[in-house]
Amino acid sequence: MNMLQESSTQISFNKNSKGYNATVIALLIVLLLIGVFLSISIGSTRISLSEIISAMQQGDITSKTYRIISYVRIPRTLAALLAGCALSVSGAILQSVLNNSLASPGIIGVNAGAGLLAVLIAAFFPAFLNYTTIAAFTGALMAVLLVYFIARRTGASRMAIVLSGVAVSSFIGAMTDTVLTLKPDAAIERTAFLIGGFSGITMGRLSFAGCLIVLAFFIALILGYDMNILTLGDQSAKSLGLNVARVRFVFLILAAMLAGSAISIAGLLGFVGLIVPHVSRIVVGYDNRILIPVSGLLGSIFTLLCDLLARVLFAPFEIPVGIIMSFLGGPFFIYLLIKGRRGLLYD
Amino acid sequence: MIKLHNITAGYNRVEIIKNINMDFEEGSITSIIGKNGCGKTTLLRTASNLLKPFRGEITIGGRDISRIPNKELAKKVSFLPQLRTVPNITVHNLVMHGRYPYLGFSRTPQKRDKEIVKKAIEHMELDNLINKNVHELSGGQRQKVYLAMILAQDTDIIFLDEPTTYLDINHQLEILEVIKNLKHMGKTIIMVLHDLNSALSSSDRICLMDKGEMVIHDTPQAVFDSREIDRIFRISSSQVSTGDEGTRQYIFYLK
Repeated sequence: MNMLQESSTQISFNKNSKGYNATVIALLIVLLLIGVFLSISIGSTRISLSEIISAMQQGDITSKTYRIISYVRIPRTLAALLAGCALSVSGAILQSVLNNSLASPGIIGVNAGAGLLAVLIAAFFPAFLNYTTIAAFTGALMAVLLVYFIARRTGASRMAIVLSGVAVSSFIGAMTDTVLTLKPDAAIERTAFLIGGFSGITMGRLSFAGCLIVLAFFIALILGYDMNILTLGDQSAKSLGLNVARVRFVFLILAAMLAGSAISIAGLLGFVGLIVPHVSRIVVGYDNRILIPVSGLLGSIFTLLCDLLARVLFAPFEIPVGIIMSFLGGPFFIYLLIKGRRGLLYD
Repeated sequence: MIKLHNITAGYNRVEIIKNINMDFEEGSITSIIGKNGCGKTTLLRTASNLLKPFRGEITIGGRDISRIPNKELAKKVSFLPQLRTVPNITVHNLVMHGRYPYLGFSRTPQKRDKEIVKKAIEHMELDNLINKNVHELSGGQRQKVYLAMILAQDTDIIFLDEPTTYLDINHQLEILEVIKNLKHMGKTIIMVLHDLNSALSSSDRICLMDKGEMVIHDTPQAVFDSREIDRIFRISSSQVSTGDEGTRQYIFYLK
């Protein structure tokens, strides 16, 4: 049945949306570059733009400025940029795929899984504390797989995933508490991990997680349209030819890869994964093809800004970035809720 | 031609429909009717391959439906569920979703996809709503948008689960007209309807179900004359002619 022969009336489409989206992306990239510059420039030692350029051009390893930039500021900036992007995109994926306003990486067991492995290392294998990052990533991935395979027994519906996520998180949380009761010394490591932060980041620690984040981000970008189809509901999506169970599994693994990698860099910075996707939806709407990059960029900017404030507000003392995020993000989120801005709630 | 051979299906190992044998005529409207819980939606979901049957086989053009790849099947069969998650997108973007089975790896709509979407929107007379958010529409408008999406999917067989439920009478009649237009375009429509008069007056064939089994599958007049509707629903019914053309309408009342 060829519908092309049915009618020839012309209709106009909204041509502004593509231009608007491109403008938003361009603006966010400019903001991100400013954020990157400020993050490299500001700290206990202030470094001007000309000093940064000159130090990087000379590449003199004996220069103090070069060492600060290369070994402290750039790894830290990259860490904030990558972790913020990963957590936001992970949250955006989960909110879309599970059709749930409250979905964030924590809801599918990521935080609980990462937390348990981090505590197990601290309690029983203190000699391997340097491997906490990889252990946290492994724990996050294992918890998500467990959640998915339990949910799959009941058809892997959105509600089944959320409920098994809550159950698995609760169970793993009890295991973590048991370990902490038996080995109270591990609580110190756990507290640092729970609050999260970027101090002492090295390029070595970043490389593995960074590669995973970049890979998962691009796969999520490619699959953005499939995510849109999934938001129609399982029956409509299946009827359009989407393999719903398989695609949902792929998205959960992507969300776990992103959040697990971010946690392995920065500890638990959960809030950014909840709030940034909501703000992004207010800016560009619900099309995941544009929502994913905008969430990533906004998440990076927000995290860079919070880390900057964490460093400078009470210098020379540093506040954990997770605290700043909650202080800034919480009231802002409440403001948005009270204002009842259209598109804030995913329903 | 879509055929059901000895289909038994249900949920959680509980059989809801049993030993259903039937075929749907090409280019016709078939309405499935029956009391609540008799298995109408289960039959619709099974026939459209959304639900795997416990036993039996469904064929399209002689091919086992379960062996047809997802996207290939989505070019032949579309399904509009009764309960849907309404996405927060524009009318145009929702209708464009109907082209999903035809998109390549980049998922970028081609010129032909855009043209078909444009025609589907025009056909449903939604031109003035094209950039509206689906959430802002009334129930009737929303149903037309979903039907435009189904039209853009461009399948020969269309399954509709209670397409007129929750709509006021004006929109019910409008949607039924749209469905008749789809038939005139050569589509095969199989739908579940609760409104017996709408089913009998708008369909070419009626499938009456009771307790998971098919009681009768025939023309509306034959089904009405069999008095099986009266028996199953425990009601009485009459037939009246309306308008200049003498269109048949059906009225139902308690015994």
